[in-house]
Amino acid sequence: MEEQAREYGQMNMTLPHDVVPLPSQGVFYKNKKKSVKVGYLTAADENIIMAGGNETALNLVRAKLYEPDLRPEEMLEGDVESILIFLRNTAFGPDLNLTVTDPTTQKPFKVSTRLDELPIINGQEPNSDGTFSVTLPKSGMSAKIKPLTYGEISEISRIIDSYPQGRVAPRATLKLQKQVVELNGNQDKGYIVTEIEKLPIADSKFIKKFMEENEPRLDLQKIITAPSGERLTVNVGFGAEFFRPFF
Amino acid sequence: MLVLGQSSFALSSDYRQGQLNEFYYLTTLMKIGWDDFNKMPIFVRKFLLDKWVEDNKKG
Repeated sequence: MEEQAREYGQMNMTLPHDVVPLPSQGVFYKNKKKSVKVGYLTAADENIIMAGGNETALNLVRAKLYEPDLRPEEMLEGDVESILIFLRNTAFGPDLNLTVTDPTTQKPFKVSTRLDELPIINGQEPNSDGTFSVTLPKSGMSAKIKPLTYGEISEISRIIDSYPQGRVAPRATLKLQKQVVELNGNQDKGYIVTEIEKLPIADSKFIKKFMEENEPRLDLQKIITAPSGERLTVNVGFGAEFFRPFF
Repeated sequence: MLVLGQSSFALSSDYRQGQLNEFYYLTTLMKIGWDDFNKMPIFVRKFLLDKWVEDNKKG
Protein backbone atom coordinates (compact mmCIF):
# COMPACT_ATOMS: atom_id res chain seq x y z
CA MET A 1 0.00 0.00 0.00
CA GLU A 2 2.80 2.40 0.99
CA GLU A 3 4.87 1.77 -2.18
CA GLN A 4 1.75 1.83 -4.34
CA ALA A 5 0.64 5.15 -2.90
CA ARG A 6 4.06 6.74 -3.42
CA GLU A 7 4.33 5.50 -7.00
CA TYR A 8 0.83 6.71 -7.70
CA GLY A 9 1.68 10.13 -6.32
CA GLN A 10 4.92 10.54 -8.25
CA MET A 11 3.71 9.15 -11.56
CA ASN A 12 0.81 11.57 -11.73
CA MET A 13 2.49 14.94 -11.59
CA THR A 14 0.66 16.01 -14.74
CA LEU A 15 -2.73 15.56 -13.03
CA PRO A 16 -4.54 18.65 -11.72
CA HIS A 17 -2.71 20.01 -8.71
CA ASP A 18 -2.09 23.16 -6.76
CA VAL A 19 0.83 24.62 -4.85
CA VAL A 20 0.55 24.45 -1.07
CA PRO A 21 2.73 26.82 0.99
CA LEU A 22 4.46 25.07 3.88
CA PRO A 23 4.30 26.59 7.39
CA SER A 24 7.97 25.58 7.79
CA GLN A 25 8.95 27.56 4.64
CA GLY A 26 11.04 24.51 3.76
CA VAL A 27 13.97 25.60 5.94
CA PHE A 28 14.17 22.16 7.59
CA TYR A 29 14.44 20.26 4.29
CA LYS A 30 17.37 19.58 1.97
CA ASN A 31 15.54 20.97 -1.06
CA LYS A 32 14.46 24.11 0.90
CA LYS A 33 11.17 24.23 -1.02
CA LYS A 34 8.80 26.76 0.50
CA SER A 35 5.79 25.16 -1.16
CA VAL A 36 4.90 21.78 -2.62
CA LYS A 37 2.74 20.51 -5.47
CA VAL A 38 -0.26 18.59 -4.16
CA GLY A 39 -2.90 16.88 -6.29
CA TYR A 40 -6.60 17.32 -5.63
CA LEU A 41 -8.50 14.49 -3.97
CA THR A 42 -10.24 12.20 -6.43
CA ALA A 43 -12.57 9.19 -6.20
CA ALA A 44 -9.46 6.98 -6.21
CA ASP A 45 -8.26 8.75 -3.03
CA GLU A 46 -11.66 8.38 -1.44
CA ASN A 47 -10.98 4.64 -1.65
CA ILE A 48 -7.81 5.15 0.45
CA ILE A 49 -9.89 7.03 3.03
CA MET A 50 -12.63 4.41 2.96
CA ALA A 51 -10.08 1.67 3.60
CA GLY A 52 -9.21 3.45 6.88
CA GLY A 53 -6.43 2.25 9.19
CA ASN A 54 -3.73 3.87 11.30
CA GLU A 55 -1.75 5.21 8.36
CA THR A 56 -4.59 6.71 6.33
CA ALA A 57 -3.25 10.25 6.63
CA LEU A 58 0.23 9.16 5.59
CA ASN A 59 -1.02 7.08 2.64
CA LEU A 60 -3.14 9.98 1.48
CA VAL A 61 -0.26 12.47 1.59
CA ARG A 62 2.03 9.94 -0.13
CA ALA A 63 -0.49 9.61 -2.95
CA LYS A 64 -1.08 13.34 -3.40
CA LEU A 65 2.38 14.86 -2.82
CA TYR A 66 3.81 15.44 -6.31
CA GLU A 67 7.37 16.11 -5.17
CA PRO A 68 9.83 13.33 -6.09
CA ASP A 69 12.55 14.64 -3.76
CA LEU A 70 10.40 14.94 -0.63
CA ARG A 71 8.74 12.12 1.27
CA PRO A 72 5.96 12.80 3.82
CA GLU A 73 8.01 10.92 6.43
CA GLU A 74 10.72 13.60 6.09
CA MET A 75 8.27 16.45 6.59
CA LEU A 76 7.34 18.23 9.80
CA GLU A 77 3.97 17.39 11.30
CA GLY A 78 2.78 20.96 10.74
CA ASP A 79 3.50 20.73 7.01
CA VAL A 80 1.67 17.39 6.73
CA GLU A 81 -1.31 18.92 8.57
CA SER A 82 -1.25 21.81 6.13
CA ILE A 83 -1.44 19.41 3.15
CA LEU A 84 -4.31 17.46 4.76
CA ILE A 85 -6.26 20.68 5.30
CA PHE A 86 -5.66 21.71 1.69
CA LEU A 87 -6.92 18.32 0.48
CA ARG A 88 -10.02 18.54 2.63
CA ASN A 89 -10.81 22.16 1.81
CA THR A 90 -10.50 21.70 -1.94
CA ALA A 91 -12.58 18.51 -1.93
CA PHE A 92 -15.29 19.21 0.62
CA GLY A 93 -15.06 22.92 1.46
CA PRO A 94 -13.72 24.62 4.56
CA ASP A 95 -16.66 23.99 6.91
CA LEU A 96 -15.91 21.47 9.65
CA ASN A 97 -18.59 20.13 11.99
CA LEU A 98 -17.41 19.15 15.45
CA THR A 99 -19.11 17.48 18.39
CA VAL A 100 -17.93 19.06 21.64
CA THR A 101 -18.98 18.54 25.26
CA ASP A 102 -20.24 21.61 27.09
CA PRO A 103 -18.01 21.82 30.20
CA THR A 104 -20.86 23.30 32.31
CA THR A 105 -23.68 20.90 31.44
CA GLN A 106 -21.53 17.94 30.30
CA LYS A 107 -23.88 17.61 27.33
CA PRO A 108 -22.49 17.14 23.80
CA PHE A 109 -23.31 19.77 21.21
CA LYS A 110 -22.55 20.28 17.55
CA VAL A 111 -20.61 23.28 16.33
CA SER A 112 -19.40 24.33 12.90
CA THR A 113 -16.08 26.03 12.26
CA ARG A 114 -14.13 26.96 9.14
CA LEU A 115 -10.67 25.78 8.16
CA ASP A 116 -9.77 28.58 5.78
CA GLU A 117 -7.44 31.42 6.65
CA LEU A 118 -5.63 29.56 9.42
CA PRO A 119 -2.81 31.62 10.89
CA ILE A 120 0.70 30.15 10.92
CA ILE A 121 2.52 29.77 14.23
CA ASN A 122 6.08 30.75 13.53
CA GLY A 123 8.48 31.42 16.34
CA GLN A 124 12.22 31.83 16.42
CA GLU A 125 14.15 31.58 13.15
CA PRO A 126 16.08 28.27 13.03
CA ASN A 127 19.78 27.92 12.12
CA SER A 128 20.62 27.20 8.47
CA ASP A 129 20.76 23.45 9.27
CA GLY A 130 17.17 23.50 10.60
CA THR A 131 18.14 23.34 14.28
CA PHE A 132 17.48 25.76 17.13
CA SER A 133 20.31 26.74 19.48
CA VAL A 134 19.20 26.93 23.11
CA THR A 135 20.69 27.01 26.59
CA LEU A 136 18.97 24.65 28.99
CA PRO A 137 17.83 26.61 32.07
CA LYS A 138 18.64 24.09 34.84
CA SER A 139 21.80 22.31 33.70
CA GLY A 140 23.15 25.29 31.76
CA MET A 141 24.09 23.02 28.87
CA SER A 142 24.04 24.40 25.34
CA ALA A 143 21.96 22.33 22.96
CA LYS A 144 20.90 22.16 19.35
CA ILE A 145 17.38 20.84 18.96
CA LYS A 146 15.18 20.16 15.96
CA PRO A 147 11.47 19.57 15.39
CA LEU A 148 10.45 15.96 14.81
CA THR A 149 9.54 14.75 11.35
CA TYR A 150 6.32 12.90 10.68
CA GLY A 151 8.37 9.71 10.21
CA GLU A 152 10.07 10.14 13.59
CA ILE A 153 6.72 10.71 15.30
CA SER A 154 5.36 7.54 13.70
CA GLU A 155 8.47 5.61 14.75
CA ILE A 156 8.08 6.76 18.38
CA SER A 157 4.39 5.78 18.28
CA ARG A 158 5.33 2.31 17.02
CA ILE A 159 7.92 1.85 19.80
CA ILE A 160 5.39 2.96 22.42
CA ASP A 161 2.74 0.62 20.99
CA SER A 162 5.19 -2.29 21.21
CA TYR A 163 5.65 -1.83 24.98
CA PRO A 164 4.05 -4.63 27.02
CA GLN A 165 0.83 -3.72 28.82
CA GLY A 166 1.48 -2.32 32.27
CA ARG A 167 4.91 -0.94 31.42
CA VAL A 168 5.11 2.81 31.04
CA ALA A 169 6.78 3.76 27.76
CA PRO A 170 9.34 6.60 28.10
CA ARG A 171 7.58 8.84 25.57
CA ALA A 172 9.33 12.04 26.65
CA THR A 173 12.78 10.42 26.60
CA LEU A 174 12.21 8.90 23.17
CA LYS A 175 11.15 12.29 21.83
CA LEU A 176 14.13 14.06 23.36
CA GLN A 177 16.52 11.50 21.87
CA LYS A 178 15.26 12.49 18.42
CA GLN A 179 14.93 16.22 19.11
CA VAL A 180 18.38 16.84 20.60
CA VAL A 181 21.10 16.70 17.94
CA GLU A 182 23.92 18.33 19.89
CA LEU A 183 24.75 18.84 23.57
CA ASN A 184 27.62 21.03 24.71
CA GLY A 185 29.03 20.92 21.18
CA ASN A 186 29.01 17.10 21.15
CA GLN A 187 26.98 15.37 18.42
CA ASP A 188 27.79 11.78 19.48
CA LYS A 189 24.47 9.93 19.73
CA GLY A 190 25.68 7.73 22.63
CA TYR A 191 26.72 10.80 24.64
CA ILE A 192 23.41 12.55 23.91
CA VAL A 193 21.34 9.48 24.94
CA THR A 194 23.31 9.16 28.21
CA GLU A 195 22.93 12.87 29.03
CA ILE A 196 19.19 12.83 28.23
CA GLU A 197 18.71 10.04 30.78
CA LYS A 198 20.16 12.40 33.43
CA LEU A 199 18.45 15.55 32.15
CA PRO A 200 16.65 17.57 34.87
CA ILE A 201 12.85 17.67 34.41
CA ALA A 202 12.98 21.47 34.12
CA ASP A 203 15.23 21.16 31.05
CA SER A 204 13.03 18.49 29.51
CA LYS A 205 9.97 20.71 30.02
CA PHE A 206 11.86 23.69 28.59
CA ILE A 207 12.55 21.79 25.34
CA LYS A 208 8.91 20.66 25.11
CA LYS A 209 7.62 24.21 25.60
CA PHE A 210 10.21 25.67 23.24
CA MET A 211 9.12 23.31 20.49
CA GLU A 212 5.43 24.04 21.07
CA GLU A 213 6.14 27.74 20.69
CA ASN A 214 8.61 27.61 17.81
CA GLU A 215 7.78 24.61 15.64
CA PRO A 216 6.14 26.03 12.52
CA ARG A 217 2.56 24.84 12.01
CA LEU A 218 -0.91 26.11 11.34
CA ASP A 219 -2.79 27.37 14.36
CA LEU A 220 -5.55 24.77 14.61
CA GLN A 221 -7.03 26.06 17.85
CA LYS A 222 -10.54 27.46 17.55
CA ILE A 223 -12.45 29.39 20.20
CA ILE A 224 -16.11 28.42 20.34
CA THR A 225 -19.03 29.31 22.60
CA ALA A 226 -20.90 26.44 24.25
CA PRO A 227 -24.75 26.54 24.68
CA SER A 228 -24.16 27.40 28.37
CA GLY A 229 -22.31 30.53 27.24
CA GLU A 230 -18.89 29.27 28.28
CA ARG A 231 -16.10 29.95 25.80
CA LEU A 232 -13.75 27.11 25.15
CA THR A 233 -10.77 26.35 22.96
CA VAL A 234 -10.88 23.26 20.78
CA ASN A 235 -8.12 21.70 18.72
CA VAL A 236 -9.06 20.67 15.21
CA GLY A 237 -8.24 16.97 15.08
CA PHE A 238 -7.59 14.65 12.17
CA GLY A 239 -9.90 11.91 13.35
CA ALA A 240 -13.07 10.40 11.91
CA GLU A 241 -14.91 13.71 11.43
CA PHE A 242 -12.11 15.36 9.46
CA PHE A 243 -12.72 13.48 6.21
CA ARG A 244 -16.37 12.73 6.84
CA PRO A 245 -18.04 15.97 5.89
CA PHE A 246 -21.38 14.71 4.68
CA PHE A 247 -22.21 11.49 6.52
CA MET B 1 -0.41 18.72 20.04
CA LEU B 2 -1.87 16.50 17.38
CA VAL B 3 -0.09 13.28 16.65
CA LEU B 4 -1.06 12.33 13.14
CA GLY B 5 0.76 9.02 13.33
CA GLN B 6 -1.79 7.80 15.82
CA SER B 7 -4.87 9.04 14.05
CA SER B 8 -7.23 6.70 12.34
CA PHE B 9 -10.16 7.66 10.19
CA ALA B 10 -12.28 6.18 7.45
CA LEU B 11 -15.27 7.13 5.36
CA SER B 12 -18.42 5.14 6.02
CA SER B 13 -20.15 2.62 3.76
CA ASP B 14 -22.86 5.28 3.29
CA TYR B 15 -20.20 7.40 1.67
CA ARG B 16 -19.39 4.59 -0.79
CA GLN B 17 -23.08 4.47 -1.72
CA GLY B 18 -23.09 8.23 -2.27
CA GLN B 19 -19.96 8.00 -4.40
CA LEU B 20 -21.53 5.30 -6.60
CA ASN B 21 -24.73 7.34 -6.93
CA GLU B 22 -22.63 10.30 -8.14
CA PHE B 23 -20.91 8.06 -10.69
CA TYR B 24 -24.30 6.80 -11.87
CA TYR B 25 -25.55 10.34 -12.52
CA LEU B 26 -22.31 11.49 -14.16
CA THR B 27 -22.18 8.51 -16.46
CA THR B 28 -25.89 8.62 -17.30
CA LEU B 29 -26.19 12.37 -17.76
CA MET B 30 -22.73 13.32 -19.02
CA LYS B 31 -21.30 10.03 -20.35
CA ILE B 32 -18.32 10.20 -17.99
CA GLY B 33 -16.49 6.86 -17.80
CA TRP B 34 -15.16 5.09 -14.70
CA ASP B 35 -11.50 6.00 -15.38
CA ASP B 36 -12.29 9.68 -15.80
CA PHE B 37 -14.52 9.59 -12.72
CA ASN B 38 -11.66 8.15 -10.66
CA LYS B 39 -9.18 10.80 -11.82
CA MET B 40 -11.57 13.75 -11.57
CA PRO B 41 -10.96 16.11 -8.63
CA ILE B 42 -13.84 15.82 -6.14
CA PHE B 43 -14.62 19.54 -6.38
CA VAL B 44 -15.08 19.20 -10.16
CA ARG B 45 -17.40 16.24 -9.65
CA LYS B 46 -19.48 18.19 -7.13
CA PHE B 47 -19.51 21.22 -9.41
CA LEU B 48 -20.78 19.23 -12.41
CA LEU B 49 -23.58 17.65 -10.42
CA ASP B 50 -24.58 20.91 -8.71
CA LYS B 51 -24.52 22.71 -12.08
CA TRP B 52 -26.72 20.07 -13.68
CA VAL B 53 -29.23 20.32 -10.82
CA GLU B 54 -29.15 24.14 -11.02
CA ASP B 55 -29.69 24.20 -14.81
CA ASN B 56 -32.53 21.72 -14.60
CA LYS B 57 -34.26 23.62 -11.81
CA LYS B 58 -34.38 26.67 -14.09
CA GLY B 59 -35.98 24.66 -16.91
